[in-house]
Amino acid sequence: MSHRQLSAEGLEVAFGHRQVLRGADLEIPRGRRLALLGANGSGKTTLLRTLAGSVKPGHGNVLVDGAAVAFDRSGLRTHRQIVQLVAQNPDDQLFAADVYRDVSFGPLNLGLSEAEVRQRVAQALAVLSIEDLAERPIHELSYGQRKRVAIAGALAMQPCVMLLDEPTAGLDPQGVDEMVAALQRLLEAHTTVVISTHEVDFALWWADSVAVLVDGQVRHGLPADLLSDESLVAAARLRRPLVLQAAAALGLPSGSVTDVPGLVAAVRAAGDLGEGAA
Amino acid sequence: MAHGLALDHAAWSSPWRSRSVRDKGTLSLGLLLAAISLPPFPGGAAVAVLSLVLLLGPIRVGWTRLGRIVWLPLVSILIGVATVAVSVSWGASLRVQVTPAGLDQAAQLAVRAVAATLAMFTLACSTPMIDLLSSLRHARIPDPLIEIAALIYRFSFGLLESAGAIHQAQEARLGYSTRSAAMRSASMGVAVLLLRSWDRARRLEAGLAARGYEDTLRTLEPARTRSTGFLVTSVATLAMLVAGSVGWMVLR
Repeated sequence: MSHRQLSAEGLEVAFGHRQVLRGADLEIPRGRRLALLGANGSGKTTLLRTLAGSVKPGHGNVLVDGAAVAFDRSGLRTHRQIVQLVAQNPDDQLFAADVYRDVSFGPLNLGLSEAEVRQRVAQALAVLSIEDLAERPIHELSYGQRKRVAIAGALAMQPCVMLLDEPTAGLDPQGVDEMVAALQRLLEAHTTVVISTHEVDFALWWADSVAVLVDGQVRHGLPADLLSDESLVAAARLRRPLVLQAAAALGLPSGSVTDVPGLVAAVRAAGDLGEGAA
Repeated sequence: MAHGLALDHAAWSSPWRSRSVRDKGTLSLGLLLAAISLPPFPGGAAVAVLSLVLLLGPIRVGWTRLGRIVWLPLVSILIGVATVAVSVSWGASLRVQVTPAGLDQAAQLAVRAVAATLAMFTLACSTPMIDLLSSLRHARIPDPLIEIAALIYRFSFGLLESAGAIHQAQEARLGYSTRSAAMRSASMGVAVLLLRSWDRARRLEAGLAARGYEDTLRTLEPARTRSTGFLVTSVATLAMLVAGSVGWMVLR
């Protein structure tokens, strides 16, 4: 999958009188991990759906390699081969009776031959490590398994950019680990991965960059920089990640701390420096 | 619905699931034809025994699950057979009687019906509904009809799940404690279910559009291998069944 540059320029989206996006700009780094952060109802899903072509903005553009996406039948057909959205609730996109049939749906719509479709289905199931589920009925799968099948369905389209709406929501810790491993394999398959979440600890640890939605606009930057900005975090109705709070309480620089091992290493390094000075 | 769910579970978990519908259909249809065309004894009885052996053996349904699957058809057969065994006449008074001829006829009917039912279950217990629907494409059934049937099959489980969750939530808050409360809860439950189904259909349409849905819901079924060996064995078994039954009749 070649990398394509997906970006948003001055997106404005309203539902009735409710203005959700107010001139949102975002440039998604190619081949990297981006976490879109915001409180419930902040417009994360709307932004993802607009980027995927499912919602037409009132103003502004969705751009691929600098060219505006046309929100007509042929424009969207092309766009959906580049960008795929995975809904928060897997049941919003799974419709077939078994896993194999469901994953084959997208590639068939691309007009591929049967052999190519079978190859893509096999690849998508392998990337998500769900080959053993191929012939299982969807109504008998667990929530976490259905989430992975939904991702496989999108992945079989071989998009350059995968947008995942709250992929870790509702999963138990092992389910989250499996999801993280699946996301890692997407990256290894040269796919740009964008997730929406309100889990700041996860975003700090996982993402290469974060985009925070506040009042319908986007602030984009490095996780440690944005998530240690107290005023931004408060305005977004989030909280600072626990390791950053701990680092601040210990008087440590937050820049290199993204997880507990990082915090422990920073504490040890500070201790060594203290002993050296003594 | 427990009957339907047990059948669905059996079909999805059967080791014969990966066999082609053509192979299994040939065997099942052959058994069905033998059940209705051969004399009930020994032909029909042999079909019933063979079907039972297949269900409990290679198809691996298991006694308990088989009991849950077949009890309803067996009750229907029993009721039908009872009307044949018992004769009712209106003369000076109402007369209900059981004659040897009636009993014999009822026994023959029962054997045929049980054999035919078990024969059909060899296919139903090893083939999920979706595989049967997909095979209808070969019979030139229009795609939209098959797609609608497949969607109804798939979403009947979601509907059952939602209905169960709504019922539980209402029951936990004493929604069914009195008759009037039950009526109110049931009507509200149906209304909520309708709204949820509508909302879900709308969201699903958006989700499918993102995956390239335009006008058809085409999917590819998992590859199925056709087995000549299975087909030959099935035909040979059926031939032996017919030959044995006819031979028994001739020698008798």
